[in-house]
Amino acid sequence: MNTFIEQLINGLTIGSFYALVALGYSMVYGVMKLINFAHGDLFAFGAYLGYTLLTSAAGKVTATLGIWGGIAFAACIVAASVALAGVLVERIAYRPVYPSGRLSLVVSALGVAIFIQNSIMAIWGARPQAFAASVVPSYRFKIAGIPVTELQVTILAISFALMFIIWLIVEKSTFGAAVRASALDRETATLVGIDVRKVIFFVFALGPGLGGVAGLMNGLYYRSISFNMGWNYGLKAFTATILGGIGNIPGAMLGGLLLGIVESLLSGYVSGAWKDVFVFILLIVTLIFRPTGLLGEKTAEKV
Amino acid sequence: MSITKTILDRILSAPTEGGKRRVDRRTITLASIAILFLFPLMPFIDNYWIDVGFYCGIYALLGLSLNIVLGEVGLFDLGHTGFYAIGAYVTAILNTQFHLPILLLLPIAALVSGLFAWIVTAPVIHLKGDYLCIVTIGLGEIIRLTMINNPFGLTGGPNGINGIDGPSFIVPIVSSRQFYYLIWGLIAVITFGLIRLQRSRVGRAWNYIREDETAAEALGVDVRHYKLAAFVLGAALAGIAGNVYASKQMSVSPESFTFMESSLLFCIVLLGGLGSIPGTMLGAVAITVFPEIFRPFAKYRLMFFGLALLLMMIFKPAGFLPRVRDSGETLRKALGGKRRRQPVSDAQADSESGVGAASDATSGATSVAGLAARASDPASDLSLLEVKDVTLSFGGVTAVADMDACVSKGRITALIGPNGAGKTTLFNLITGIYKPLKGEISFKAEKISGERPHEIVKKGIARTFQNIRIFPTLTCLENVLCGQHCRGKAGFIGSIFRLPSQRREEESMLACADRCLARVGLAESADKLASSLPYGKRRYLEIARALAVNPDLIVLDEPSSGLNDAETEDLSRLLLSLLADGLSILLIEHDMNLVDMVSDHVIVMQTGRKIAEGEMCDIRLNPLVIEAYLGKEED
Repeated sequence: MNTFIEQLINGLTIGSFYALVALGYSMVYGVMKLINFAHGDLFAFGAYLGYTLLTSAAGKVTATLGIWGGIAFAACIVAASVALAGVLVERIAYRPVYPSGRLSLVVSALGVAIFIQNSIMAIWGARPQAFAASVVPSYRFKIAGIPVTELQVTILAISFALMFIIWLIVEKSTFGAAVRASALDRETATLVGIDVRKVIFFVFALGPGLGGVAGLMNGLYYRSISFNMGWNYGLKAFTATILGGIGNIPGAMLGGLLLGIVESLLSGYVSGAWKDVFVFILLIVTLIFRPTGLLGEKTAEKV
Repeated sequence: MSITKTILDRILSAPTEGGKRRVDRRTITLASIAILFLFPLMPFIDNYWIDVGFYCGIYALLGLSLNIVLGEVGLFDLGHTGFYAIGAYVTAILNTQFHLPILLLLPIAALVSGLFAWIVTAPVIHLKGDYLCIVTIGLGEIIRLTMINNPFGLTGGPNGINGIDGPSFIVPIVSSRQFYYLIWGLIAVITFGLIRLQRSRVGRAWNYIREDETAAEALGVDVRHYKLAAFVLGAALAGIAGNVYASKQMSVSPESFTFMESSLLFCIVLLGGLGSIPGTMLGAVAITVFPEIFRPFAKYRLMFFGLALLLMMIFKPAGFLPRVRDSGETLRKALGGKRRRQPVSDAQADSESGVGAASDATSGATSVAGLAARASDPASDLSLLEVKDVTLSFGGVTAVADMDACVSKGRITALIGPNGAGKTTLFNLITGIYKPLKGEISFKAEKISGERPHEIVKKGIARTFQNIRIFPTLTCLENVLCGQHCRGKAGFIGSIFRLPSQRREEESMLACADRCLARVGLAESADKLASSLPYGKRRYLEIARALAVNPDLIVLDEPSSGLNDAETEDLSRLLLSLLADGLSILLIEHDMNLVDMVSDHVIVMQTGRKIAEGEMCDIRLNPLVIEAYLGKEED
């Protein structure tokens, strides 16, 4: 039983990374109808930026602000920088291509993804980098006999807090209504006076911002990061997005958490090597029976 | 960049008038073939560059295979590498375990890949756009991970399989040059077949689906069948590429078949130009040669590559060589027929639309004019279409409730009612887009409810749409040919080998399409892209497309919407002349003058129910109808 709960907590942690990244995919998809393939690499960029902030200059940041202070400081800078990068990507790579249609956008997105990934490699090198032990909190304790780390608890707390805030903004605020309206029908949204450019700015800042923070937390959790980690996490998070129902905010959270838990249980109880195969089979089977994901609404095409 | 752009621009902006451009294209094609042929024979080309040429070939073949799925049918396939991997692994396993010769394995690799594609895509083919995209990504990953995990010790795990033989055809194929000619020879044969497919009923059906899936299905294209066929053919060709790749490398390993590879293929098709065969080849060459040129900047070359993709999409989103649609003349020439007909002019058509013009020698059974004979059919008062007690609801909203309606043969029946009355829903029920929850629809005394739209079309009901749904990037002629699709039979074999039956069929389809275009006064626009037509003409194009089905009943959804008075009058004349030819017409209409002018029988709907029925003069006075349109008088 204990191992089961341990796996569950582990799965939740991984799942919360997926969920945070999936939120970015989902929001961007909602408004732009675009799979932002660069999103995974922005996640990796967040991890690397955090790594540099925390470990450069012999860990001066941590030395001055303490472990938690350092992480908080890094998280703020990472969130802001990756959000900026996201907005720039939209301005440079997507906005000029948008009139040419969705397929061109996909290629443009792939181009940006390849560019960011290889820029990371050019800057930080092809070999994986490791966070120094001195900058990562390492305190472990037990809750009802289940061993957890301080970091795990923090990651879960922060992720859920962020998800809750996003949910509040998107589902409850006026601006969130504008975002949802733009997702439903961009043209009509413009007609009723919604500034869609503002909405696009918002999703391209918020999505990557969250992704960047998730990247940093992921780096701290595994301590090791590599330049091409964005592909894999991006792909998984995108799978989670589709699983939950693309363009649907609670769906992205559900999909992410579910995927993390399933993955963790599969590698714990079935086989680590085959877990991704099962994950994709699960996705395909889900889509056969629910063609628009778990929470995706059935959209009847107007004929 | 700028020099290439100028050259490209010059090529692409060559005069379109007359034969000049075709000569240009032909010269360019011949020159490219000559260059491809002579390339490995040049004295200054070493083996290294011949190998680069070989890999250009592999990517060109893969690009062509993906082009079928992505370019022709418009299905987002980002896992195409999986099929390539299967071809390569099938070759590797069967060759190393059973020592089967490589060239014998070539068709086997194609078959296994194709079969696999059929098995895995059949259950998911109904998924739309990005959902299908993630499934293909998933499939690609499943295949790659399976190879890594070495099931039953077959795939050799992460290291893959080594020691694959080279192919041998009369002499063993070993040198770079021989491999180069092998792959490009295969491409030549395959391209030959693909070009013929593009110019056939099959290729057009793919394009209809890409342009508008719903319209294609509603006009008689078996969408599911053609989508699956595209996947199977695409996978089979990728399997061939896998076979050649494995024997050239003499080894296969999972790292050659990553998601990145699939993305590259996707880019090849888009860089070249969607659906364009020469474009795809050029895209493949660009993608292969680019990293070679930038090899000195090893660390940054992929960075540049990403940037180049981005710039290309910003400045030339349609690709290097966008697909040029064939003109009617080219299509006819391709058939090799000596009896080339001039397109029917509008004037001729007018005289043809009279009852007397039914005897067009080449028209055969598939002729609109042939319908003229039916006008004087004595049994014309029979009911053609019967809707009995039909109900459909979406969630809690009942769109159509206990609806009864009847359309008589040789009549124009109008369906009117306020917005949201369920008229279009009823149309969608009749044409099979929706299935009724309750009740039955029968056509010519045969039950049609429950059948798929393309089957219903075949029985003789053709439709138009409220919001015009033409195929914008195809020519008007191709648009109208869609209607004839369901009257043809030619499949892959017939189209590739251009069997006599296929040629005859194609000729009669073209002839019919010409007549239908002329009928609505669009003969002059046959070779124009549908998207270049003004709004009013698009409506006529849709009607011509429906006429090409050679239907018994034509179902028009608000044909006059957006037309001005003069155009509406034209329309009413057209409708009456169709009626004179023996067609029966059911139309939804808001323009009461038009309804009054043309209709024999009027059915009024409100909130999903029929509230009145009869002749227009009676309907006008019916208190229920007045209430539905104007509201109840308060007093």
